[in-house]
Amino acid sequence: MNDLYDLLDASGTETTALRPPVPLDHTRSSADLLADDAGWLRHWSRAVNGAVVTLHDDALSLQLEARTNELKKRPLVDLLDECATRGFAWRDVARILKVSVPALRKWREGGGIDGAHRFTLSRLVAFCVIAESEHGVSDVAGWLEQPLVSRCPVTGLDLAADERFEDLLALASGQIGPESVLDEAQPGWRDAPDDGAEVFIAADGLPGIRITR
Amino acid sequence: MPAELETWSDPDELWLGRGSGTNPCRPIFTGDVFALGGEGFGQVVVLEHPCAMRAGARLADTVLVAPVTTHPLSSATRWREGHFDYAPLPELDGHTVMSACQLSALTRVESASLDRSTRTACLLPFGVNLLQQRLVWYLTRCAITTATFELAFSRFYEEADLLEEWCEAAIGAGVGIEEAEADGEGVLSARGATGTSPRELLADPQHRAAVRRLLKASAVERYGR
Repeated sequence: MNDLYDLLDASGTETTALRPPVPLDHTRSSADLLADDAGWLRHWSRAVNGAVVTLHDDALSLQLEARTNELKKRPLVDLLDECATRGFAWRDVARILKVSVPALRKWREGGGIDGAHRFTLSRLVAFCVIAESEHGVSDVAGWLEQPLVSRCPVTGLDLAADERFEDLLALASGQIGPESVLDEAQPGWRDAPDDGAEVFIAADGLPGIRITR
Repeated sequence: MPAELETWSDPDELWLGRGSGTNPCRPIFTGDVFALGGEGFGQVVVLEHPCAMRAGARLADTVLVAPVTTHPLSSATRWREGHFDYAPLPELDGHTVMSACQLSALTRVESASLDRSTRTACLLPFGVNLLQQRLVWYLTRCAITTATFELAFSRFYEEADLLEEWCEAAIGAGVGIEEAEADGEGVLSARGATGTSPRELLADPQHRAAVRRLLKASAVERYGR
């Protein structure tokens, strides 16, 4: 029986059962070379792209930090007024600053603010200034209130409440798309609960909810 | 993923104001809690939908409410699994006590009995949406997500916020609350050159910041603040 056991039992190293592999032809075609070069370029460009993305992210952070530090010097009432004149709702500002609406009202009426909250408020205003002046967002508050993508309720305000101002600036600059931002910020966004309902305008002209499936 | 009853991770996500943090300038709205003080009532929470509650600045003659009691179930996650005849109102008193409104004891009260000075709390939009979700589930066993309620009714939450700010400015200038509310309603309803009112523009989130700017400018023009 000329099977593996026979081969293993065979004495000596000579056998006709085992043959050396036929060497491949080492001559490479131009297509091989082209594929090699393109693959290397692809790898190289990915590495460069990664480095440039990091550089841009760092630059956006530095820009935001520099503006924030300038704005921190301004009176509290001015910073709050910057939010109001842009049309932010106070409850949205409160959510971004992680304080209650009554606490924010006290600041509006002249109460003192601690350093951490002044920093976040300055950062919010700095973000608005950069989005307007550098990226052409004409109505920052209105822009932030819209859902990032149509099939998910997450808005720019939700990202601002998570202090993802750099992501928002990258989005405003057009360097990344909303789905990439959502993948990073809210990984489960594609699996949001679906109640099979839709909002419609009823016969009285006011909104209603109806089940569609 | 199918919809299910939602809950809160921090009670502060639900409350716009409690106790002294409740702004008397805010219009009476869904989710407001009042201490009625009359016979048979302690506190009640307003359940009437914003669409059905008022005609212009005027409240309907009667308003749908549910009585508020304390409740032994404190775990936020456990509320998803049962006690469907109650809607939780955690830390309503500002402390750790669990309160809830009894959905099986819905009733109507005279709107005249809802005095702003006896309002003890107001809910944030998420809190109102959660309350609506619970009420619809109790009445119909239909689970609607809070995101859908938000999409449908956020324009009314905006209206309430805008009227609150308007009334703050008006009262600061010595105007009475009823006159202030009527003035604010008038500005919200006034049609501009395009035939559209600020109230109608609130239906689209992208216009809301512009409407806030408009009302702020109008309040400054009218009341100097």
